[in-house]
Amino acid sequence: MTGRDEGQWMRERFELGIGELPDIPVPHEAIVRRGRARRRTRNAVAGSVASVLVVAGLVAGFTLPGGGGKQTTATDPIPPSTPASTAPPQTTPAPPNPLGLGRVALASGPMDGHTWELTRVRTQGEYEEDTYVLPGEPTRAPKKQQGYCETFEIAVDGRTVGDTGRQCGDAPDWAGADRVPGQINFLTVEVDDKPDHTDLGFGTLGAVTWGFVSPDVDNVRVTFKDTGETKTLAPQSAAGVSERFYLLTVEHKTGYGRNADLVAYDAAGNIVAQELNRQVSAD
Amino acid sequence: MSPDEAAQFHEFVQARWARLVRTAYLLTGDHGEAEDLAQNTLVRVYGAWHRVQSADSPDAYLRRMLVNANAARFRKKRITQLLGAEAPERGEADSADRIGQRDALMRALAQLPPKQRAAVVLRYWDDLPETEVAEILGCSVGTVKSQASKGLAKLRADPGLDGPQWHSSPHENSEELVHDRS
Repeated sequence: MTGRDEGQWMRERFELGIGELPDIPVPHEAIVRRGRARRRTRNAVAGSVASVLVVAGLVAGFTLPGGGGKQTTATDPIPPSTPASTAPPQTTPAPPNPLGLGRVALASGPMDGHTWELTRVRTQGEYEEDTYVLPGEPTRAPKKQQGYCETFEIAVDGRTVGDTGRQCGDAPDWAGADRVPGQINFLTVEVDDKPDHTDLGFGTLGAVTWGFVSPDVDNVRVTFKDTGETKTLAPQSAAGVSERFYLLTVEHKTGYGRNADLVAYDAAGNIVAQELNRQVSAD
Repeated sequence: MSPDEAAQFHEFVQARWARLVRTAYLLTGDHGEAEDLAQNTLVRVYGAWHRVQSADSPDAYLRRMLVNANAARFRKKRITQLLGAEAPERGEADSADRIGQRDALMRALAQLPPKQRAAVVLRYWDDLPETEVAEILGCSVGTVKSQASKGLAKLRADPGLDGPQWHSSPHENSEELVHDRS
């Protein structure tokens, strides 16, 4: 039998086996509703909900730009309730760009023999509010807004391999503006070592979770739901970024779909903000 | 999303849903999982609509998302049960032959490792060229050839796919279904 015949044999089995399955109505409303919710979740921006960054690379650690090579690693054995980093938060001279417009490198680090870097790109610009309507609903003209747009890019070995998508809102500082009291900031993005259309690919090797914290936060404690392991992270800062942020790396080899409680504490040990049972690894 | 984009997205989903669910069914072996997988994929497409639209091949992008979401499903749920071990629950209206064929097909596919299964489904159900399958699976064309070939050999050796029920089925149905794909 030739390869062509083999293919035909298989095609016939497929057609006979499932070709006549009854059609299922398109769940358009659910897709749009969930798609919108997903956008809002990613929209750390407008919603002021924060940031988890999933990196498809073996994340061994990270360094903050200008940080003198200080490194921390999510998989470092850190005793519970002990700050992961004992070094004081890194401070940098006030940038001549108070709105933080342009490209700002937030963090970088080694990754399975490669180097990854997280960059924020913020611009002033016009955006349209989401005017999606379901079939049959009256259409609405998109309303133009003047504001600020922001995206976070991940690069591996100097090549951009993924981003969070461009999100826009009315304030330049998404993290500080409109923060929901008691809710810790986070955002999730998946990245691969290949350009962005493959960012959901087989190559996801790890994850980085991060988010901005308010000035009164002393540390962020992460408790993994599956193992009970706890890590305590000290807030970090980066040149050109007005707020401090925490950053957690989770290596792929520790498992997919891992959830954790993220709780921010002040110096007195009071809870400032939290998110419970949130996914902090690739799925 | 502007009204124009919304209309384009709606049209995109409408045109692909039925096919997408069938491909998902072949990948998962379960109706419920297939619907979830197809829906989750389209939710991701909604979130990345600008990128999908501007892609060289939005359909390839869609399939890539589907296959990758299925891979993530495997990783996440650590699925160990034999997929397709149960008869499909929606086959009441089908003839006994159809149910038997479908059951045999899903049992046979369940023997294949996920990537081999994906290679066979994309190559012979979605009729994609090897180069496109390679791009979707993130591997070389040579790997696709070997994976599809090994998968096909296992399926050929499966007695459930070579019984008399496969030879007694009316062929005109097959032709009609092929036409229905477009």
